[in-house]
Amino acid sequence: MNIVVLYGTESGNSELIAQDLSDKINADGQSAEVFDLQDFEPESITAENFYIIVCSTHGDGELPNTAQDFFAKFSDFEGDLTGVRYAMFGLGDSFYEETYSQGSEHIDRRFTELGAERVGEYGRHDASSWDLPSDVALEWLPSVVSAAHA
Amino acid sequence: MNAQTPRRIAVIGSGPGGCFTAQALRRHWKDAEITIFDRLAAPYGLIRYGVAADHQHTKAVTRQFDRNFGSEDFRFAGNVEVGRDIDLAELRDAFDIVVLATGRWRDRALTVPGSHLDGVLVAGDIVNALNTVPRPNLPMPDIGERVVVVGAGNVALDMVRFLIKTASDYVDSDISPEALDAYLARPAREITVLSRSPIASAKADVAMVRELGRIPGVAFTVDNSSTAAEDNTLGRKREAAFADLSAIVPEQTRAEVHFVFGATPSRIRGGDRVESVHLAEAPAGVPGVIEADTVISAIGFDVNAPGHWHYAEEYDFAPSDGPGRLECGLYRAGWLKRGPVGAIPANRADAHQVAKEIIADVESGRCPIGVDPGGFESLPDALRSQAVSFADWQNVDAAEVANAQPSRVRTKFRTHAEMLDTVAELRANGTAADTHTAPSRPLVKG
Repeated sequence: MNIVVLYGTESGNSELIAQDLSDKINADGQSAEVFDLQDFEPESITAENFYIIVCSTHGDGELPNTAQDFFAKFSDFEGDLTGVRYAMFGLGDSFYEETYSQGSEHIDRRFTELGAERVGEYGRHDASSWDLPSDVALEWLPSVVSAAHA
Repeated sequence: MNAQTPRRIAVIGSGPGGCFTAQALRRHWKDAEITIFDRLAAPYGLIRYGVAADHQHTKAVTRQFDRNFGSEDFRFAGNVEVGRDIDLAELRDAFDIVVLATGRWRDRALTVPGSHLDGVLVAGDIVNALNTVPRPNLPMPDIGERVVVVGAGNVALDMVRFLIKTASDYVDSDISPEALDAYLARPAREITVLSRSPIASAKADVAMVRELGRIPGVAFTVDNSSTAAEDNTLGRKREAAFADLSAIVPEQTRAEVHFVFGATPSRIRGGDRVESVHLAEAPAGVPGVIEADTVISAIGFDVNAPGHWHYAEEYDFAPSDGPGRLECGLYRAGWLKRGPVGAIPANRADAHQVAKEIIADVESGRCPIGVDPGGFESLPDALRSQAVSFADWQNVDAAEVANAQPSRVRTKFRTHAEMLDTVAELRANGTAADTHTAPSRPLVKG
C-alpha cells in the first residue's frame, strides 16, 4: 500500500513533518510520497493509497494559505471517496484557545462528508508546548500505520 | 558535483528571511556549504529580538532552524558584521552565492508637528528594550501615565498589551527584567489607540485582539468610524472581537484603553514634553484633543532608513515583489527584498521564491559557477575565530536559560560584549554543548 503524505503549511513545520514521516515510512521498507497541498488535486485521491494529511492552522482557525486553493477545489469536488482511508495530524497553538488546531479539521470534515474513513488517533502538535513537531508526529506514526494495515 | 552546483553559499542575516532561504537552498543542493552570518552573537534576528517576549509560541519556529544548524546543514557565524568586519566584495570572493537578508528594522516615525517633543517614542525602542536587544543595549524609554498609541497593527497591539500587563502576566516569557521593572514602577493608566483605518480594514489579527481581553483589571472602549461590509467576514470577526473587549466589566480597573478607529493625529502640542494630541478627524462623539504625556508610534518600519544596507550602497534596495537578484551571485531576500511587510510565513514564501530563482539562474547557465572559491575556511583566521559558532551560541543559550528568573524561561544577556565574554569563557572551559540534541528552549510548563 502506498502512503501519500499531504501537507499544508505557513511557517514550514508541516512540511518538515511530512518529509520526516515519509522518510521514516520509506526507511521502514514501505512506500511513501509527499505532496504540498497546493500541488495536489482532489481528483487524484484513490482507495489504493492511504493518505496522511499534515496541516497547520492560520489566523482565526483557518487553513494556511498554501492549503486554501486545494480546499476550495476539495469543497467543490463531488467524487465518492467511499473506501478511501486517511489519517490526520493537525498543528496549532493552544495559546489561541478558541481556534486551537482547527485548520486541519476543515479538510477532515470534507473527507468524511465524501465518504472517506479516518483511521487511528487524530494527531496534534501544539506550538505552545515547544515540543519538536517531528518528534510528536513520529511518535504518532506507528499506531496510524498499523491502523492503516488493519 | 558538476560545474553548475555551487559549493559555497553565504547568507547575511539569520532572521526568518535568511534561514528560510538557506533551508530551501539546502533542500536542493545537499552538498553545498551554507554559512549564515549575523552581526549579533545570537541567531534568528527578529524572531528573537522583534517577536514580543510574551509570544514564545511564535518563536517556536526556531526549532526548525536549530535542527538545521545542529545537523550541520548550515554553519552559524555570528558576531560578523559585513561592511565592518569584512567587505561585501571580500565575502563574495570566498562564496559562489551571497544572499543578503539583513532586513529593515528601523521604525517609521511620526511627522506631524510636535513629533520632536520629549515623550514622542517609536514602538521599536520599547520592543528593543523589552527584548534586550544587545548591540547597542538601550534602556527602556520613559513612559508616562497617559499614553497615545498611534497605529492598530500587530505591533501597536503588542504595545497595548505591554502597557496593560502586570509582572504576573509574563509567566513563561523572556522579557527584560530591567525594562519591565522600569515601566511597572509607574505604569500607564489611560491609553488611547488611534487607528487611521476603521476596524474593518485595520491590520490587527483577531487573535491578538482577543488576547487583550484575557488581561484582568482593564476597561476598554471602542469608537469606530464605519462598519464592515456584510461580505467582509474577517472585518466582521474583528469588529466582534472589539465588541467583546468593550463588554468586559473589570472588578477593579487598573487601566483604561480607548480604541478610536478612523482617527489621525494632526499635531502634538506641549512645552518640552507632550501635553496633548490633536486629531485631524475622528468618529462622531470623540473629542478632538486628547490629554497625554506620551505618544508611541507603531506605524510600521522605515522602508528607506539609512543603515539597512550600508555595506552595499551601490545597489537599489527599493522594495520588490520581483526577482531577488541584484546581479549574478548576489541576491536579496526577506524584508530587505520585499519591504517590511508580512510576518514569518510571508517571508518563508518569499524565501522559497528567491531560492527557486537562484537555483534556476545557476542551472540554466545564466549565472555560471566558477572554481571553488574556498568558502568560510578561506576567510582570514582572525575573522573565523571571532565568529560565534552554533555550538558557542548553544552555550550562551544554556547560560541564559540557567539565569532565568522564577516563572520566566530565560534572562537574555544585556550586551553584545557580555555575550562574547560568555562565549570566550565557555570556549576556555571546553564545555561545548552537544550540537545534535540540546534543545534550545526550556520548558517551564510541562
